[in-house]
Amino acid sequence: MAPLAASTRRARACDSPCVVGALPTAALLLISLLLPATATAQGTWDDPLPEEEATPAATGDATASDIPDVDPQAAGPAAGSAPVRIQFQLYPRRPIDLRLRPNSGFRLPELVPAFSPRPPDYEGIYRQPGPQFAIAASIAFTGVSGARDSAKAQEFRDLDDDVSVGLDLFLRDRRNYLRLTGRHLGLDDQDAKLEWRRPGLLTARASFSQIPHNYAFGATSLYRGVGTGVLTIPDEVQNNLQGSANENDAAIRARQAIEDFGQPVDLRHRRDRTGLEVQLVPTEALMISFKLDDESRVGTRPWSGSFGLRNVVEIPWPVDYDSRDARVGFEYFGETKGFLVRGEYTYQTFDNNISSVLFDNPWRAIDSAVGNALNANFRSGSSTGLIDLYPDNEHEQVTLTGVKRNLPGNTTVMATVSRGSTEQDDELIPFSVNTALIPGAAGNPPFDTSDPANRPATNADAELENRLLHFRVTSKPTKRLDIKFQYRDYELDNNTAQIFIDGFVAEDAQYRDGDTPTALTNLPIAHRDRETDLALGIRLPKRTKLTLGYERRETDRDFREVENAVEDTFKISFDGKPAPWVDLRASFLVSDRTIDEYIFDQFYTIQDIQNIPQLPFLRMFDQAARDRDRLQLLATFFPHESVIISGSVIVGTDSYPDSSFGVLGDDHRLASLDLSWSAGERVAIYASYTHEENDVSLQGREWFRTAPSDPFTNAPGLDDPSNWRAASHDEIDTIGFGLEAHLIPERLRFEVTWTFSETDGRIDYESPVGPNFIDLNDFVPASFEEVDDVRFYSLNPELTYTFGERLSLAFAYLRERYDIDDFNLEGFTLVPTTPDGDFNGAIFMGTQFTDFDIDLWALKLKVRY
Amino acid sequence: MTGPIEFLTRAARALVLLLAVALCSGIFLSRTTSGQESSPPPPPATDTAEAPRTSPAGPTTEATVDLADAHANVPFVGPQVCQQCHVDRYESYENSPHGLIDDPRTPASRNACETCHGPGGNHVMGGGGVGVGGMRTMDRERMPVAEINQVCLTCHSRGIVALWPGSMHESRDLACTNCHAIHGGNEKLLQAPSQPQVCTECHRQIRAQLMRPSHHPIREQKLVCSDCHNPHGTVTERLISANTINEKCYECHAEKRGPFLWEHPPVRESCLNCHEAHGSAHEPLLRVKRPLLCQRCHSPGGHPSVLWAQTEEEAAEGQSVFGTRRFFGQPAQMLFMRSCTNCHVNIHGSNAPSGKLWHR
Repeated sequence: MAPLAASTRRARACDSPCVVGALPTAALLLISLLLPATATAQGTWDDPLPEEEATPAATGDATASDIPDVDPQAAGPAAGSAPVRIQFQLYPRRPIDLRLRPNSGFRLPELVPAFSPRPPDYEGIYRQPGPQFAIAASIAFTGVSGARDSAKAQEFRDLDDDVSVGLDLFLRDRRNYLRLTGRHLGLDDQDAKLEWRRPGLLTARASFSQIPHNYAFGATSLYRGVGTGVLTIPDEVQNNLQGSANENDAAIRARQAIEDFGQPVDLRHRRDRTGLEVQLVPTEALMISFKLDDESRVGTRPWSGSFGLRNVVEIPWPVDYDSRDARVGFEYFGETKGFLVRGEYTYQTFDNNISSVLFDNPWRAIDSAVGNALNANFRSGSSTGLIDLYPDNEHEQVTLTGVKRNLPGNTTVMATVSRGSTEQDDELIPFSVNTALIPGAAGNPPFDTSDPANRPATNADAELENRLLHFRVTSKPTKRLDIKFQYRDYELDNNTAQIFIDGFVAEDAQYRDGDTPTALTNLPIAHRDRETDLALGIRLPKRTKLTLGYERRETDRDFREVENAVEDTFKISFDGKPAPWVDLRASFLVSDRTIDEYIFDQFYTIQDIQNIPQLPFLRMFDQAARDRDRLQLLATFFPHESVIISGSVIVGTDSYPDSSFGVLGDDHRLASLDLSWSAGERVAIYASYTHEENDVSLQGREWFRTAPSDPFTNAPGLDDPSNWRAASHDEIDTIGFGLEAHLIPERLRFEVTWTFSETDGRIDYESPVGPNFIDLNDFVPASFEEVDDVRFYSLNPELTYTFGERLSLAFAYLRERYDIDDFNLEGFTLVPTTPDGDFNGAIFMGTQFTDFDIDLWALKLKVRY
Repeated sequence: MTGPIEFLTRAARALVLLLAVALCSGIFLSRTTSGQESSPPPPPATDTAEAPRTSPAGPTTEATVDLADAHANVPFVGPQVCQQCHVDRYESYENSPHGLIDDPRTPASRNACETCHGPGGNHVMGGGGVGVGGMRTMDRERMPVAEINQVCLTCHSRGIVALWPGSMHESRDLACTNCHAIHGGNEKLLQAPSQPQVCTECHRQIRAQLMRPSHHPIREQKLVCSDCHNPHGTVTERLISANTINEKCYECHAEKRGPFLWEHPPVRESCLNCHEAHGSAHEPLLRVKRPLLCQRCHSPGGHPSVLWAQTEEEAAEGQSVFGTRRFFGQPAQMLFMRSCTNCHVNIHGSNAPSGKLWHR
């Protein structure tokens, strides 16, 4: 279609008077509400404009006599009159009501070739003087079934039978730009944003967003006071369970208690975010910015508490957080000298309105102080537990950046220095709330651990300081060579006050002291990373580029197993478009991390802990010597102007050559294929497939002190019958298909998206077989074949009929199905038992994500003006 | 896979050595040839009828060029002329931020279309057509990436773009037009309706991760890529728009910022030691399933450490960890559900005097 013909056709369509007459009653009501706003806005925004300025654009600077004259008639109403403003229209595809397409922002790549001409994504052009105003609004009536089958269905969204509104308002004149967007208005996940720009002077944004986070619907809890810091269980339940005759009886009583006293509870919280941002441009070179974000998070989340090695209870953790983030910054840009400097000050705070959670022990009505309460049985220990929740904190950061361009050899130099501190000074809770842990009985502490006066300090007095220096030089000395040098030095200092204690109370049950008095202490861990990066880019023929890189990363740590580590990385990448029909990107890196020494017991010997609880042969993966390889390929082919085929391969391996225990290898592989096809002017199809595999192998040992496999006494070698090896394997397949068809041009449009993703995990165990008196792995090292196996389907068709320029009606359907199989779901009960019916150490609420199957229908009316 | 990887590793190391040699040669050659290659001047279009309607020989080098010099002495024609033929493009430009005529920084307040595309005198005289008159087409097939980017960087050289030189995307030869459609109708003039859709066209692994069961609310449109990354360049790896990965995470997860009395060292160093930020098969965004996650660093004494079945029959029946027998008297609750974190609840750090093992 010729551009001019298209324009003419649009003009005709705009002149059509049939639009309003076709509006249904609801649309008329909506428009009638909006029209006064339009009129008001036009009046308000019609600032007296200066006389038409003779900008170069207006005059065209077409002073050369050989430029042909323009025929205003042939050029349309805009030609020849300067400057003609075109009435702004909203882009109809802008997703102002995402409820109908919850994954619309994550659709598979569009069919339209990235570098080919694209039709303008709007329609309806008005040419009239004055301010430009556009508004689109939608109202959606939604019906849902199955949304509460599992909280996973609504993990971050609100899917209920409801009415929601979408809004997109735009107002523009020569001086101002105003935009108001609202999504899902009326729902729990609504958000809105208002933006005002006064070009060259001011940009202001205000935003509000609600983000629900649903963990569990209809869980069952024995606790009262959900959402507060005090979780209580009726006394009669505690008395009854404490009186259990044996573990078999305990399981029976616990189940009965849940049946009699358990209450349904939804576990969820919601983030309410409010933001304000202002950028001022007092002069062309200077920009000043201010940004403030405020967030409150209120609700509950499922987590755990314990009273020893045989007594775990799932509890509803209270969430009542307030956090703020304020930033003030400036930027000065000397355009003529190519010099930029900017600075920013950041102040962030976090306040937890519930500083600790006190929760009842289902199995104890009164405190006890059995010497080995931690491991004695499930009924020993405290009647209540006290967990310290996240402490309040403050963070400050000052950052200064300078950039100098236009240096000889097309060189740019940039440097950033930053310094910050994080402080936390919350009041400490007592060692324990177990009032039976007082001096006297054997094994008890030398002081009353529940007395706040015996805390090692009243407040935490914790502080971190960070420093960053970043320096980068880039240069293009010749047309075929790019050089980059980069240095980064980041240091995290820990100035937290050390406390020295004789011992502590584990799980409010048992006092555990150190090998020597006042030897146990918190260690102010810290680290420093220095990275040096050199890259050389060589431009080859056919618009291709080869880049060679070397990076050295040195890491120093305090109070960790490895004090110094060095990682050398060699990188090579190839990027280019050697032919019009292909686009290639490839990279490969090889890295080698070496360490000076692995001091496995450093963490413990510093505290004079003699009986190291860790296997001495194990190497923690984040510090161990490591060899890493990464290969990435991405090729995009354009065999025809309407077809794009793209393939990607990623292969990565991490191996730990010096590790006999811990992670031995960590590999991942990915292959993907995408297809986009414009099957004519009215139909677009896209499809995608991705296959991933992740493999982690690791080795451990089953051992305890004095056992045959004790590495410090009886089994000092690497080989032992109690060793075990695990291999975790995940396979993930993702398939997507989409179609967009204009069944009747400019009238009836059909879109459909279908996705399917499947994760298939398994864990295989191996263990050498030994006689049972030396082999603690005297069991069947079975394979667990159901490890987070999830199948997720999504089908989302939408049919839209457009009534002229201003009204459209859409019918949408969403089907989502989520199936999960996991060994943690197989045989799950709120009170697990052994095959003999004995209590197996835990009382749960039933908070796992389970299957869901959703059907959502929506009728959406969209009006634009 | 180990075999091929080892092979590839050896091959790549050899290739690096070879390329280092080639690099030295390349530097030498580039010095000897610099100045010999330059963008040819726009072809004079003297005969409209014979003017090529398809791409003429455009610039063939990837060198940085002086945009002004390339179009010296070519007259401007004005936007009214441009829209005669390019009506769609003109309208979209008018509707875009570039069309705000009262902002002295926009193309609209300068030479409109010709601010970016260059003066159109020769183009018009040549009768129009792709590339006629040396117009800048912003097309990677006809214009070097550096030249495309320089058009944009002429104005967009500050703010979030200030650290573009030497950034990952600049180094990998991405053009601004890879992600932005200057005439497009999307927010921020992106090539696609949303950031994730743009970014995942190349970052396929991220796209797949976002489709996994446990993910940040990106598919729900509550987060976008630029909430954590600045694709135009930062001072931190992976284009994280904060000084460290953790500082970025703390912006939303401020409760985990601490510092704590009892720190968990790998947590303090990097959240990514345990979490897969974009998506994972294992809730909540864990790299591997617990207890294996913890056992990557810990093989503690006194804890049952492997998921087990007591008999072969049990193993064949699905290995319900809830119905398993005791192991040396220890119940299985250390392994099922949240596994280690059933007891070590404050795993991100504890502020309790008795929180040494993160129980409290």
